[in-house]
Amino acid sequence: MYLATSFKKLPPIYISSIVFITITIMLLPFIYLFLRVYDANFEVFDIFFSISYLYIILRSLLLMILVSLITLLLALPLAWINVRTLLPFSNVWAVLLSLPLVIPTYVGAYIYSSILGPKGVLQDVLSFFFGIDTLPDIHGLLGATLVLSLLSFPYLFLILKSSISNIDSTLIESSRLLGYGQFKTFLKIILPQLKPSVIAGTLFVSLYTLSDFGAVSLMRYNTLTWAIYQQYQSIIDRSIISLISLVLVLIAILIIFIESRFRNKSRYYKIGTGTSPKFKKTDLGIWKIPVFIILGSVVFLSLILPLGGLLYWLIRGLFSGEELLFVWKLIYNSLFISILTSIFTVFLSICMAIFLVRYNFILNRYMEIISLAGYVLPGVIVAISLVYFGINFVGVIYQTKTLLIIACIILAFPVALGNSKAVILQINPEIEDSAKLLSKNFLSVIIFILIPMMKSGLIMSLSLVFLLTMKELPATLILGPLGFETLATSIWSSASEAYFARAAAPALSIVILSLFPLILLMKAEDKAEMI
Amino acid sequence: MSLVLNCMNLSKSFGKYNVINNLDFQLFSGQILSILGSSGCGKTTLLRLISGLEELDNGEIYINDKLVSKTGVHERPEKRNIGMVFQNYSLFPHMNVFNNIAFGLKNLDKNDKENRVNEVLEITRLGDFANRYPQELSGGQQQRVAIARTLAPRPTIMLLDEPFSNLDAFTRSAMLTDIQKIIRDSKVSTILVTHDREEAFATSDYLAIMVNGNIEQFDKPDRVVKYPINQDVASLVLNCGFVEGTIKNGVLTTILGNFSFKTMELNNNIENDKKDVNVLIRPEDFNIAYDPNGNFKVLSIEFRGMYSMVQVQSINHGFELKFINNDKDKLWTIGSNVNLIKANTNPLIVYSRN
Repeated sequence: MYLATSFKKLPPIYISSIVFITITIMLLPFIYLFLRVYDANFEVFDIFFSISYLYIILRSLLLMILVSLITLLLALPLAWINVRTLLPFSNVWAVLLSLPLVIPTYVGAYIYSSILGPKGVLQDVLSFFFGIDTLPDIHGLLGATLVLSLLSFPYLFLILKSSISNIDSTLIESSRLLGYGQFKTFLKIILPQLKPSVIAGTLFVSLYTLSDFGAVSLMRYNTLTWAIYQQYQSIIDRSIISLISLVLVLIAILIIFIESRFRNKSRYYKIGTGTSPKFKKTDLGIWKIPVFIILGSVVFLSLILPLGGLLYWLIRGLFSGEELLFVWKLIYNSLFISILTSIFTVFLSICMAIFLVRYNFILNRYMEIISLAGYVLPGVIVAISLVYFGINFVGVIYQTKTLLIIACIILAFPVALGNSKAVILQINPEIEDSAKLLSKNFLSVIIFILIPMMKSGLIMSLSLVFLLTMKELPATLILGPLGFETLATSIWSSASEAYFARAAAPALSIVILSLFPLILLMKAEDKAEMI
Repeated sequence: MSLVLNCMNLSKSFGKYNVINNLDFQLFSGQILSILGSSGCGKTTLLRLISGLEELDNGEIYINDKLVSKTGVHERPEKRNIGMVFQNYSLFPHMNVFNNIAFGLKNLDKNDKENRVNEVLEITRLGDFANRYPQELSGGQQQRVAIARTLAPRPTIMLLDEPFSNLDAFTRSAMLTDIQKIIRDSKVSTILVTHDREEAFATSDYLAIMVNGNIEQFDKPDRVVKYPINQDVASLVLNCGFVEGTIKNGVLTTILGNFSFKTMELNNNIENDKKDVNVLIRPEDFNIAYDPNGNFKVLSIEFRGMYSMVQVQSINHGFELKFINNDKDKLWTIGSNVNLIKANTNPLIVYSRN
């Protein structure tokens, strides 16, 4: 890691201005929430403290806890098996287990409810063969938990997979030589080493669940985000929305606070500088078949079933005369927003990363926290706050794609910033200095030295932001100009009215378009690991 | 002294690579054995076979007369009572020094555990650091914790895998003395693996020289240095060079002159027949003398404090040799022509040239 070893006194003015504008944009949703709550009259507080809202908060928390637990129970063993056993085709399994990332939760929700829901495909089949006419309703907590767990476990899987392969194998061997068997070594040595990534990954999944709008709305499970959206659609007084949002933000901040407490207390550095032998993989032996069955079931439920469902609805739609041409316009709109957002977000995040890493200001810590806005704020809230500023202060951009792109930037910024910081930290300032000594102009240093060094990091950032923005739903629903539809909004509106066949083509397009950045991402990660 | 470790005919290969080839050796109680070999010669693999972290292809390993490894027999590492200090020390980062050391004492009750940890802390002079975490210690201290943790459960044998390779030169020389004292005080039978001859000489009762998965020579360090059994061993244990020579009628002829010689090979008819040999030249074997018509040229002079190491090159044959020089009033310098004069009457060691 290369921290600010060659402090320059002040950053260039263009970087400072860009950082200032970025921070201002990130602050907007927070300012909005506080303004609204500050203005709220007491009746709003009475309504807010009524039982129904408390109930919604509890429902959100319950979903969050369930999804976090299930994803952990799925991801930890899967990642362990993938990395540390002699699993045949382990690379193929790793790709298959990561692929559900490209399926947006609302697509998952729509497919699951169309297959497993009342009058769904499964019920048709069961009633045809066995005469079973009623199935338990999948909507509600069950459906939301199922969809969110199956589609968000890959995040945790990827995080754990990388930290499991980074565990120093001599720690495990030392424990064995000190008299501990495999199971006790796992409990006493490996698990404590994995704790930070388990906590960070679970934190990510909890915040992801808390801010999810697509799955809970289609599964009709009333959580805070769904409540905010309904309030936004139905009433003029926005104070109540702000109060609910504030609760959501406070929960998110509380979770992050707990995580950082855990992280500060524990110690997980790699000690010593020597190399450790490549770890030995365990032979699965008689467990090979049960492991294959478990892996197969997870891949079936999280990947094959949703994709198969999409194909089924697509073909059924085509036979019943569904149009396909409208999809091109949606693809164009989605790509337009996603590409522009990716470029802007990555550019802004690189500027911010340079500022944070290379210049040591007291405010840096706070700036970093503010940049996390998109991490703690669900899309619904970011969108509503931008509507407020759009209408009241910059009417010109209200109801334009600009405002939508700004919202997408706020939401994707934390992911891009984390990545850009890692990229800048990896570049030794001495390399910059020696390049400057060898070359006359700084522009050639940027083009021939810095950009090639940052290439795989930049590709990772661009791909991640693209993936997130492609799937983004609530901000687009609220901020999209009149008549402006993306793949995401079109899927949601068709699916929420149970036009499953019409939703299939855009849903399949989103999956296919998301595959490209995912492939780039995996390649860039492999490269980064090699370096 | 009883036999604690008996390795018979060990073989191990990874895929196509034979890492250990029919290797035999024994270790007696309380002995310190250093295994010296270049990188990749199979030293670490040998330790991993003894500790049970790898399974054997062929051969047998006995610890205290008990068979622990053989084809089809493999006692698990946690059952062998063997301690190992890894190259990177492998301290548990989430435990403080006390808990790291206590980790292997799970069978003791609380009081006994505390007493034993304190005892080991004292031997390793770590008493003040019991509550520190590994990352708060220096490299040398981390190494002492690793050794303390290994010693605590009183292992039958302690294995040290390149224990000094991560230390800076200054700490390393201090630790060499330190570790030797700790091992002697605790009376544990020890095998130390290294690629550094100074480390191997400094710490051991016996020295095993390992080349390509086999032990070429097993003897006391001074004997190995005095009589290296073949050219590979000589290159590993000495800072030496070789010149070509011929033996005829019991006389060794080289371009440096005619000398008395000693052969390390068992079939001694070499002394009578005409035979081509390589002659071992040690840095202390010859003096350098200024001679404008000399057959050698001085290439470099490295000042080493107590002496200088001088590199000379044969003008006609191109080979290079290194010699120690203490002559303060020398007439030659870099680029001078010089001649080499035998500094003592010791016979030169020769190896037959194949």
